[in-house]
This record gives sequence, C-alpha cells and structure tokens, in this order.
Amino acid sequence: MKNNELENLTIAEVGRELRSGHLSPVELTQSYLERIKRYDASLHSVVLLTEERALEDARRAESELARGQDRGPMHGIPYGLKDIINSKGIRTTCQSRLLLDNVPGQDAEVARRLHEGGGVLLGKMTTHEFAIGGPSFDLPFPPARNPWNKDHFTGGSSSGSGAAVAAGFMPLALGTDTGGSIRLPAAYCGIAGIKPTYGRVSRRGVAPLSFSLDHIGPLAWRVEDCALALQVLAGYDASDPGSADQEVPNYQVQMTGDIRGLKIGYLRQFHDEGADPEMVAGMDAAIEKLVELGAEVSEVTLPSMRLFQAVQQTILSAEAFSIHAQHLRERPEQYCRNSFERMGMGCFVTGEDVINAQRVRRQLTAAVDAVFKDVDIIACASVLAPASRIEDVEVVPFRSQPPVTAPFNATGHPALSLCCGYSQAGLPLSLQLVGHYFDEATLFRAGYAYEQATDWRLRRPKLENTEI
Amino acid sequence: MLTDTVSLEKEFEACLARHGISIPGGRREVMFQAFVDFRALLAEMPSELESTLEPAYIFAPGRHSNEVFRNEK
Repeated sequence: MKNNELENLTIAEVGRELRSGHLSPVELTQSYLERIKRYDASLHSVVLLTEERALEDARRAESELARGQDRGPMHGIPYGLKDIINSKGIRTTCQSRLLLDNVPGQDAEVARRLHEGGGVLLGKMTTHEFAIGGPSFDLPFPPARNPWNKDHFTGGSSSGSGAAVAAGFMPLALGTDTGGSIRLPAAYCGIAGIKPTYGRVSRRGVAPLSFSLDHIGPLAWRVEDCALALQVLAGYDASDPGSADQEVPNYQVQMTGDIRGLKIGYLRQFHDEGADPEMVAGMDAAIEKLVELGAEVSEVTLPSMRLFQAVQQTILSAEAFSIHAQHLRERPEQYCRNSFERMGMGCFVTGEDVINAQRVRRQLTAAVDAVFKDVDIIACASVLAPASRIEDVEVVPFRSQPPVTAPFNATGHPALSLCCGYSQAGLPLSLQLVGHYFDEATLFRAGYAYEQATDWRLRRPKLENTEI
Repeated sequence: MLTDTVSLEKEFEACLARHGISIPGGRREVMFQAFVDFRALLAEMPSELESTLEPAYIFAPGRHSNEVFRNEK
C-alpha cells in the first residue's frame, strides 16, 4: 500500500489492515521512515529519528500479530513523542543545551503505555525549549515549520508533533499543553488535538513546566484517532500526584455521527475583537454545520479573558520559575533568550499573587461550570487567525494577547481543537470544543460528527522533496 | 502598590536581586516593560474574595499522605 493511500486511513483502519495481514507493521514503519527522510529536512519536525527502535518495535508487532497476540488499538501503529517526554534509553533534550546528553533510564508513563500497547516509536519531536521558549532560532535544533507553508509557524510548543502529523509522517504524536501547546499546533497545522481533563493522563516522566497547568494529550489527523489514542493513554497513575482516579469510558461508543439534541454554547467573546475575518467565518460556518447535524446552539459568556490571563500567567510564571530557578541563576546562557525571559517573569510574582490567583482560579472554574449547567459543550476559538509567518511571531517575555486556549488550562476542562476549513491562502482554520470534566467522549462525539459531515480531512499539504 | 516609574524600577531591580537573576545586556528595557505590563495585569485580579474560595485543594490529606505512611511502616 502506498504512503499516500495510508495517510487517508484512520488508525483503526490501519489496525485492521495489520491484523488481516494485508499490511505489515515493518512495511508501514519503513514507509513512514522514508517519508520523514524525504520531506522533513525543510520542516524540522523530528529532532531525533529513532529508526532502529522503530524497526525493532515493528518487528515485534509483526511477530505478535502473526501469532494472534493483540495488544490493542495501537499495536503496530507508529507514533512520535514530544521531546520533553522521557523515552527509556533514548535521548530526551527538551530542545535545550542543558539536556543535550540526557538519556532517561525510564519511560514516561505515556511512553510506557504506548510501548506496552505495541506502538512503534518513530522519533522524538521538535518542541519549544522546555515547552515554553519558542519559536527560537538560538537553540541547538531549528524550530519546526508548518507543512501547509514552511514560511509559517506551526504553533507550539508541541510544534514538531503538529507538523509531523499534518505532513503525514506519522498517524499520531503526543504533545503537552500548559496554555495551548497541543491545541495551537493542532489549529495551525490543520489537525485534531486534545488537551484532556487535568489528571486524565499521567504526567509522570514528562518534564514539568507548570505542575498544575500541564496536560498531556494526542495529536492526530482525525478526531477519532485522538479518541483511540486517549483510550490507551488515559487512566490513573498513583505516581502522578495530579492523576485522577476516574474510570476511563469507552470513547468509541458515542462516535456514531449522531449529535441530535447536543447542546452547544457558542462563546464569541474570545474572538469578538481582533480575530481574522476568515477564521471567524470558518467558525461560524462550523457552528451552522453542527446545527444542521442536529445540535442546539445558544450564545454563552464567561468572565473576561484578562482575568483568565492573570490567573494562568501568575500560576505558570511562579511554577515554571520554581522548577528552573537554580539553572536560571547559575546557567542562564544555556537557555534560549525566550525561555529565560518568560520563565524569569516568575521572579516578579509574590506569594500573595500566587494565592490570589489560585483563589480566582476557583471563581473562574465555577463560572465555567455554571455555563455547563445548560450546555454539553462550549465552542469557541482556538486561535484568532491562521498561522502567521514564523518571523512575525511575537516572541516576547509577556504577551499582550494571550492564547485563547489558556483559560481551559486554568480550569482543567478538556478541550479539543479541530480543523474547520482553510483560508484563501491555504492555511487551516480551526474551532475549539470544550467539555465537562472527564467528558472527552462528548467532545469526540461532536468532533467526529463534524468531520464526517465535511471534507476537510481529504485535503493534505503538498510537501517539498528535500532528500539528498 | 506604588505604580510610579521610579518605584516600579526599584521593585524590578529588587525582584531580580532577590532571586539572583541577571538580565543580559540590551534586554533590560524589554524585561522592565514586561514586568510593568505583568504587574498591571495582576492588579486586575479581584482582591476581595469570598472565604470559600480558599485554595484548599492544593493539599488534600488522605489522598497521598496515607500512601506515604503505609510505605514508611
């Protein structure tokens, strides 16, 4: 099967081909490895290609599937890990000079689950330094580029994960999200990405940026592939203090295409000012499509974005600074300028600020939950415009316009970013769907129905052959 | 909180000195402006909050401490 045929299959469909013997995990893996080698030189999505490990995983999967041993939906499926996620025996740099020689002795819990589930590790993915500093050109590795237009930003910090999935280098990549770092690359790269409920997925073995804002989640071409991946990743981990001991439902069951009666609250206020007209038109059209499919849409409001920004920025600054303070003092030159400055903002935060922020956080969370008394999902912007040119990205210590994804890191509600069209310039448009705590299933239900009713998933970026 | 430029500059320098952070040459102005903007944002958080909004969830005895005690026995 050719790679351009593979890219149109869901993970579940690829899984069926693997189990039937029509496709071999080794051939599948080799196909993706070749594609990465052919096209990634101009996209820089992969910071370390783990070819030997990939083929070893693939051969194991091949022999196990051949004798009828089935490890689950990820068996034989290639994936990438954001390079802040520990991979046993494989360099994990966080894209930083500080960790160029770091080789973890243990897999992160999410890496362990994917490996135990029979997945095939293709590589470690480009990220912003420590998931905060980027896009930066003063790091050991170049920033990732957007496959839709390589002069444009991928979004971050899970930049390589977003770019690689969009480019068809792998059907799945993991990212992390502290203020939008899964949803922003998903939005700019035109794919699906979910920040699950806080505590849904273990953070053990993932370099922390902000203990109470960090989330781990999947990026994939389609919503249903995100659902399948989350099925493997989700679950209680006693070694993660923030892990939630909540049953993991079957995420596939509700993905029928039927969303009749689903109540959606459309939140316009986050994109009322300053949003690109094409992005707004794309979101409005997506809402209309959801109504056509039977959803009931009403307008909702939340407290101001400035308040969410104050809370999220205070907590992020304080927690990130507390993690990195010693190195920021003693080895500042080892950080890229943007990481140093953004983390350095933590030294301006007082104890009073942090406690106030945590208290206001409860107030904001209650406000979101009050809206959820009447709706199943809140729909809003994930970004205000299509991806900008990479050199135009505001790389400053304090952003005047915060990402519209950040409020749901502060509150911990699950949030899914999905593609809702393309601009005149051919760049993806996106929509964010936010759910009740631990109700990722309803987000998947809505996202799946929308994707089935539109043809956005049939369009792929054209890549430049850079193989030497 | 004092918001005149002189006071803000003193606070800025004091915070950096307290934490032992040195701003590389040429970036002081950018960082100072970021500090000013950040403080302005923080000032927008309400200061009078209901007592029920205490951040008690930061630490919850019985969730993890029991496991620690069990391991120590």
